[in-house]
Amino acid sequence: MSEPVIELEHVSKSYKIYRNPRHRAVEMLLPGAPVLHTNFPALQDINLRVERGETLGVVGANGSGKSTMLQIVAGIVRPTSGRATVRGRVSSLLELGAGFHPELTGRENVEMFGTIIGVPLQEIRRRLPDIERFAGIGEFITQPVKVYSSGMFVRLAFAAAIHVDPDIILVDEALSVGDAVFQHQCLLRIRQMQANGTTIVCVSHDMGLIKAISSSVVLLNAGRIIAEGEAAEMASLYFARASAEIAKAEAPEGPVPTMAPESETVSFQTDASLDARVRVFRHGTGAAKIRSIELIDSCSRPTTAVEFNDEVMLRVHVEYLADVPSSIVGFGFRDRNGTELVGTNTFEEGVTLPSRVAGSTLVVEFRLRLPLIPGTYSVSSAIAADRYTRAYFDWIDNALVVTVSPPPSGKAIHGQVWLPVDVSVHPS
Amino acid sequence: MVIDALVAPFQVLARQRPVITTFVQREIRTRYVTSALGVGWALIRPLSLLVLYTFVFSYVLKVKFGGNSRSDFAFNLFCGLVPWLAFSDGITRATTAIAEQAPLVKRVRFPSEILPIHQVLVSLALESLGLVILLAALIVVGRAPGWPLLTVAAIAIPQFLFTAGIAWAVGALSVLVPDTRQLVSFGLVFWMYATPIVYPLEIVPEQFRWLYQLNPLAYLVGAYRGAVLHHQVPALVPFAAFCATSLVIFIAGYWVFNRLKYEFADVL
Repeated sequence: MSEPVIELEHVSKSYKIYRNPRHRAVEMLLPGAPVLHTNFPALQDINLRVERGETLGVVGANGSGKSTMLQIVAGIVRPTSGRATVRGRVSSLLELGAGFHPELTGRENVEMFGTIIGVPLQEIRRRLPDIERFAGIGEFITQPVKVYSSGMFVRLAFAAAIHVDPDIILVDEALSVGDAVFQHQCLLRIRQMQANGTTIVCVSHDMGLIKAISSSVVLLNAGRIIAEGEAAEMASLYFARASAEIAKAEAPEGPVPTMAPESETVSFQTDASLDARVRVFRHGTGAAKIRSIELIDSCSRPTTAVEFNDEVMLRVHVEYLADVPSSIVGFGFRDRNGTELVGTNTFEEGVTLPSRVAGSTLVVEFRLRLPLIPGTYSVSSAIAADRYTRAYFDWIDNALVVTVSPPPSGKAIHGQVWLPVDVSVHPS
Repeated sequence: MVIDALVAPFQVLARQRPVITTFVQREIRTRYVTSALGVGWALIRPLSLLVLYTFVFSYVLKVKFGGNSRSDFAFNLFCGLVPWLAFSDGITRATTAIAEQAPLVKRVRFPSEILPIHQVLVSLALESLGLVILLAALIVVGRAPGWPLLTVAAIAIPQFLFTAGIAWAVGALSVLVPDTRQLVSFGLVFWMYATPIVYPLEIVPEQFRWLYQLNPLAYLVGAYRGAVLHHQVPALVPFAAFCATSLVIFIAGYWVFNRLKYEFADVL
């Protein structure tokens, strides 16, 4: 078996936290000074082997130690204890365009960048046409980078970083820069490099990306590796943990309103925390108010985490504050970019709501499946007089955040939404 | 192990030569690229100091260097000012060199050793401009220096080592202890007046002379004056002592830097 390209053995890193910057100086300069810092453990006992050509995905919540781990692999930060061995030329995309000088031209900066990471100038010059083509910034390559748009800047920096034939490339969310075309270009290039035996370590919150490129994934939590394994499995675990966190964060302070399980008569309820939570995402005339929104799973439990294509029920509780002869209630699921992927209302679905007087309530239930690409979605809901009006009684965005985890079958989802498909094959 | 510590700083210079070269070029270009006078600024500062000090110390305070003429004062002053400014500028720039490149130090595997060094080299390069002006002026007044001028090149080597060693130490310390910067700018004022730049060593009272023997900058300024103004080749023993001191400072400075550099990413 060949030597691993990256090897971390019992690596720990703790940062010294000083209450006062002066304390650092005192500790450093006065022998026998009292200990004035507290240790913040960023990484604890990390063991990791990455073989040549492997792509390791690193996932975990913010502050779990992902970036520190990359910094250690990059040789920027020295572990407090343990041993980190890295074999080969590292190109880190931890911060795109680090070291670019605003007054120098794009081309000069690329040459500069190459020199910094130890590539001979002739080699960089040889790769310049490729880099320029990849960055796609045209004539701007001869302009000082201070006149670049931020998109052009990162594209050039990215192009430079991946064209220096690194043995190891470290990516920290860097692939999420640029427009869609550029992202596709990046992904293609990553695949090429994988095929050529480049080792990649990729930190991302984008599970789609992690699954697309990683051969294995480690899940970090509070500075420790809590799980490692195959990408899809780790992504599910990550989502499960993330939604547990969200549920914990969203849990109301007081006693949790209990649902009457399997009751035929669904009773109206008010979610006391809703008003505070959605204040800035809310508008409307106030003739009716949405008092609570719940997502109910197939076991009749309220939830915010569902599996891909699970059957769920969205329950909207409405209180009328004025006499309203007719109304329609609707909802929508938006992805992280704010694109509404699914949505409908009672009118479109052919359901007429009864006339209501002030003080009365109504509960509307939508049963649906969520065949959405794994990720987090925010739920909006609204009530209006009819489909033509622009004056909503009440409109709430971000009423719920729902996490959709990948299908347990491991099936990959192409596109944002999956639709049932029949496949037939006719061999001739 | 000891041998490693001794050769390590030289290895850094050799191995990082391409990066150092690039950084020196970039620094010279970008430092003046946005100003209308460009590299002219590198001359305006020493020349205006020359005028200022000549007025204060020669006209007002009547300090004399050997001969009586004002031009003699000005030449001696400028000949001391040129190496002094190269030294003090290099050190001053070194105190901010690392913080200025924080993204590189924090995010890229980058030889941060070269950051103080490239500032020292830039200061030396700009010093040579001042030297050119001085030589031109000497030729104009018919005091063209002879071949001992060439020994300036030999003096410049330990001068670089000495400056680089201090630059490494204060460069690293200023990242971790910001007070270093204040201390350095303050200390340099002291050091300048403790060096016979605006006055000749000869007028210093006898009981303080030994202090000047301990000041490598006093030797440096004297050696420059000897080579440029007095057709003197540096005497062997003091020159060897200066070289040895510089070597020790250079190696010690690197040792300090190397011990502290892994803390940079934590602090910046």
